[in-house]
Amino acid sequence: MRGRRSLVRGRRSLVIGCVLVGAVLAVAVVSLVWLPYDPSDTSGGRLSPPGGPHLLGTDKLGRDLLTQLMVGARIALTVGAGSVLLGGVLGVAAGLAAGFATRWLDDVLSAGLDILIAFPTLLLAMLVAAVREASLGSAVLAIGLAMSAVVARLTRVLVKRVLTQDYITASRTSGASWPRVIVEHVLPNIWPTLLVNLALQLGLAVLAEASLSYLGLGPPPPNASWGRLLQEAQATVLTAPTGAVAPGVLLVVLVVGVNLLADGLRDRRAR
Amino acid sequence: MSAAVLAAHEAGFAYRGGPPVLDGVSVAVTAGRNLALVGESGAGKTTLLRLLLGLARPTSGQVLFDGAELSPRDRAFRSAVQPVFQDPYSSLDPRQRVGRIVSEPLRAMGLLAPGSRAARRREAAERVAEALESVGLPADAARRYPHEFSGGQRQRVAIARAVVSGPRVLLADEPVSALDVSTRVRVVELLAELGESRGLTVVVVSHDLSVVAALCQETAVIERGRIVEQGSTAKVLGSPEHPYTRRLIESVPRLSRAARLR
Amino acid sequence: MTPLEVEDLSVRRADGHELLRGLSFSLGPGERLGLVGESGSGKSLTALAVMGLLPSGMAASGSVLLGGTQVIGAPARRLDGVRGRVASVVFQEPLAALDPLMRVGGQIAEPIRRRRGLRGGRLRAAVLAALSEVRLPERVARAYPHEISGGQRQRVAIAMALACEPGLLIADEPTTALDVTVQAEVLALLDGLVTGRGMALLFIGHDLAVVADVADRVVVLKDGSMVESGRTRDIVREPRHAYTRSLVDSAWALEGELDRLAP
Repeated sequence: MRGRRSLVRGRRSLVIGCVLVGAVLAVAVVSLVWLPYDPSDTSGGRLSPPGGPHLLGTDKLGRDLLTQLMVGARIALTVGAGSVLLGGVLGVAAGLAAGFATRWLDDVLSAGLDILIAFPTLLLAMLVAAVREASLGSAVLAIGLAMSAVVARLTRVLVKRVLTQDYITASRTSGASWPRVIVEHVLPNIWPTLLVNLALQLGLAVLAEASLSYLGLGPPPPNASWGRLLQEAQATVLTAPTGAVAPGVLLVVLVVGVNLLADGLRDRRAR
Repeated sequence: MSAAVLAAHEAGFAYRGGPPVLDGVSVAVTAGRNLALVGESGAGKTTLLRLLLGLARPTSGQVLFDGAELSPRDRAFRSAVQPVFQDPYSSLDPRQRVGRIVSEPLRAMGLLAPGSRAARRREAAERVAEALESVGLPADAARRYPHEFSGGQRQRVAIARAVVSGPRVLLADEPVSALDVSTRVRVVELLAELGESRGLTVVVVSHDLSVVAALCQETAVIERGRIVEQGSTAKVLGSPEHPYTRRLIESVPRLSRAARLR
Repeated sequence: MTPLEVEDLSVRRADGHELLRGLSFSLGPGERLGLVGESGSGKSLTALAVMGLLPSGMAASGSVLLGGTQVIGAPARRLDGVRGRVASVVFQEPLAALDPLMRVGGQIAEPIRRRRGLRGGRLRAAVLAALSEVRLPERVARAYPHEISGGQRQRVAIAMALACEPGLLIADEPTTALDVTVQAEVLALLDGLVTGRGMALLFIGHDLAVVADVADRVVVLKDGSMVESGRTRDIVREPRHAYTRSLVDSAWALEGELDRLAP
């Protein structure tokens, strides 16, 4: 009853999410092989309006906006995927450790995770940027670290729940070692829930990257991040609105797409 | 004690700082004599079963397998003593096909003959099919997932997994209490039958004295971590000596009483 | 007044699937009826439908007269006046029916205060009387639900169900989660209370022996339909329907072994 309706809704979310994320992904891939202009080419004249040789116009330095947006898509997805990979691997490893740990170690790990979760991502990013300088890698590192705490806490709860199941005991009495139990039973059973959460985290990572870049803590030029485009277009938003609206719209498209994707995955799993 | 396959000798168990859950318990599983561990929740039956399965170590006393102190990693012990759980919904991994579930002991204990991968897979499939057949499930059950089966069928799958390694002892924790009455009878029959056809000795933890009477030759009654009475089932249930055993027997709801009275 | 009259009761899900089909039975004052079936037979659903407590997404049709009040299609307010006063339910898992953050005494006091308007010392006295009626010591009143045993919790649930002196008690698998000796005690307690107050009892269970122990008449349910009904003794001795026979035979098959050893 609930099943069928949510299945249809789930499939719709999944399709729309795939289309939105796929579109941004396609743009990012195209940007690798073809760009309308060189990203640092400032010959376009300052703030030329949309249309003409520059489809979306130029920014205040005379760079082609479409080119910047395409590069930005690549940056957004790179940072998003990179931090999900980093946060996922670190988080699942820490969560598994906490889930299996004895009471004492579990308490210590959980307290550490709580501190990390309470720690603002931006502050963490500033620390990383101060130590390493602002770069693509620093953004991935900061966002990935912050994410790993959230992923770890979820993993820990999921692992603890699975460990109470009799099939785990059955596996142990079948002679399976703990690593084998993890690979055969624990990971496959926590994976679907984890996947939905990682998809949501991808959306948050994209937003976090935009915030960092907006504050000047993100990857430096010529890595045109949507967050930095927004910041640069801020002063001229009334005279040349496209410069601010376009990256904002793309950001919304990607984040909404990722969230719909996560919703769709969850509903499919709930079947 | 030499004839005992599996035995607890003055075994005690306590969580750190807690009162003893088990206190000086001695039971012996003799080949061919099914044993019932009877008692109420919290009496320590399940803890005793965990000791016998090597999932926990006694904090005092010993657990012996074939006369020597039990070592949980010993492959001979693992393949000889296998568990059956109460809840067939929790005991089967929902993400694995039945074939994979039933063959897990073979794979994890390395019981398949060395050879090519294909040969090992063929041997596993044959032994799984044989185990499924012995519990009354069709061979094509191996390709399906647990959720496609009813509670009674799932318990049969769990029993197939327990017997696939050719064990001598089956330790079953309330194996039928989660099942409907008609299914319950058939699973009890199956356990009794497997005992005879495969030379298995069944140890059953149960609060259901009917199941005990139908399946076990020996009975030990546990109350608050101690064995208060043990001996042949006929004697323990037929002429109980301990007041707790007597109360347990009197408490069983009986159809015969209802048929007489109303 | 007849405590319960059920006529052609059906329950279906929103997608049209029928969970209960045309169930009819009635319960006179002081009568004891057992509802037996295996899992999925619809026996617990019957209890919910009778009390007007069906989960959303399920619709009942037919007629359920609870102490003369039509339950099917009745507005929530009218049912509030019926529940507790005319009929009460005791469920399988007492922990779910009790508020974990409230002391037991307070939970028993609530229905008494609401229905009988007692306060202060008289309310306290009534709570203690209710506790002693279900053979619980006074100190239980100060305990939280998790601090007492499963059997004690079920006694508390029974005390709460009886607080408003209903004419009908519906017991849905009240002893399934309990140990055998505790089950025997709770069944004896229920038996005594129902007899003492002249209440009608609708006893729902999967264990034929337990239901037969309590009920004079039995209705056998299978897949949402009634397959047989009659006097308990007749059904236990000579069931007519094939399904009932298999149910009874199974119960006898297990019990037979025990009867042989310990008559």
